[in-house]
Amino acid sequence: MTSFLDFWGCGKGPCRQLAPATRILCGTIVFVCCFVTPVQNPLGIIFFACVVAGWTLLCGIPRKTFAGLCMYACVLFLPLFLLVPWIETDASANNRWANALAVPLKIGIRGTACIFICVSTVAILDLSEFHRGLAALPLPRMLVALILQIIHQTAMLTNESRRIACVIQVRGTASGCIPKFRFFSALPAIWLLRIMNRAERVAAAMDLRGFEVTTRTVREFGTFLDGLAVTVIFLLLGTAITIRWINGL
Amino acid sequence: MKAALTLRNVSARYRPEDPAVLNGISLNIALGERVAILGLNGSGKTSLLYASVGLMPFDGYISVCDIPLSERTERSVRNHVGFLFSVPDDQILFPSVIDDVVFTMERRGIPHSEACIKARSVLERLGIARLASHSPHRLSHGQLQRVALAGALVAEPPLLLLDEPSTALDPVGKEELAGLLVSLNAAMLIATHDIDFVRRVCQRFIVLDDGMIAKDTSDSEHITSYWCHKAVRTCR
Repeated sequence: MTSFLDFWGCGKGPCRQLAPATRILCGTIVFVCCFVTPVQNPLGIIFFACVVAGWTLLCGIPRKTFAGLCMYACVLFLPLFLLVPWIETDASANNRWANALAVPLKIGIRGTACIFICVSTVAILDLSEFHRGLAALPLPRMLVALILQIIHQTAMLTNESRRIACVIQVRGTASGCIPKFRFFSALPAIWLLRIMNRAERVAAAMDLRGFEVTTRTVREFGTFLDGLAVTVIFLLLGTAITIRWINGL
Repeated sequence: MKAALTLRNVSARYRPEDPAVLNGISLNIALGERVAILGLNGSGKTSLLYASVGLMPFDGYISVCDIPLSERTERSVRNHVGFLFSVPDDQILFPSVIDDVVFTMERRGIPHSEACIKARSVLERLGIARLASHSPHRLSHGQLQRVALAGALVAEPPLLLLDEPSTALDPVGKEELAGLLVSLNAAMLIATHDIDFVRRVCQRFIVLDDGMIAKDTSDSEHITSYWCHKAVRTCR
């Protein structure tokens, strides 16, 4: 099973040569591009596909992760197509089914693209680089500290969940349907309690260590490569906006 | 004489309706003095450490380096204290070992480059210099304990409050930590069950029983026999 932590820094693509802040900036702009680009016309679709595929390739996520993401996207978005018969469209239109299909298709395409872009961006940053990159961006320091803690604590909770899973594997579950049901229904409460206790302890530690002072700002001087990457990525954003504007949306 | 930690008639409870976990504790720790707090589970060792830095409500008087502990002085008091929690995961707040240790220095206004040099030297002393760029999520419990200790020691605070510092360490690690603690000038209060460890480190031993001081001595032989006797009596 691939855990939350395994995604961080697993990419080996050329984007890793960029400064961490540039990687975060590029990933964010590619993400925005995918929301701006219309997917109703061939030009938009081609541009959209190229941007997503290009970014995923440049980040170089491992094949196993790529396959896992494809499966995850299918599980997440294919059930939406079951709703097609109930989607209300203009009854007088000739291509009613096509119009109904377009709705889950659009959600699926954009959703899948978002998953790939997010994971690809995460794949070219390990947690330390992510911290450095965020600190170098012109963001409010409180926001940086908050994002950092969300990611850090999520990783800790993933580890905690893994430990619980190991305990279940080693100790085994109860035999029989009703004891099994009792066992599994008690799990969320145990997990939640552990998390709440942990949150209290972490809050105490933050308080004690003076975390409200927040993180420092890092000044990183970009290389020529960083400048080039940022220029290209802003050109892509400009193209996406132009395509949307031409499309009249 | 300036005291590192003073408690006068301190009582504490987690919630007003709960029974007191500390009952009228009074003690004085001089600068540079190394004191062990021994006691069975639930005797109030951790609560004593928590109350000393204002992490739990208390009645009575507490001061650190002669600064009386109150809501207003909490931050300044905590700047004088290095604290090690019993679960090291909880106090590591950054995605790499070096960032976490450096943070302790930076929040005291020390420039980043200087903080990095100091942090690396502390990691070296604790035998974990090679882990500097590692993510804490991939470390063992013992390694996490050393990282957390590095974060507590790096700013050279005059008072160290250590909750079970030796629990997750291997024998070599314990030996090294004992040597390191003895070499420091800081006063320390070590809550533990590990009598062998504190006999190597501490000059004074306090036994807590039901939130009260049952014994306060500097005789290490006496404390060993007292502790063994107490443990046997409790088992019966």
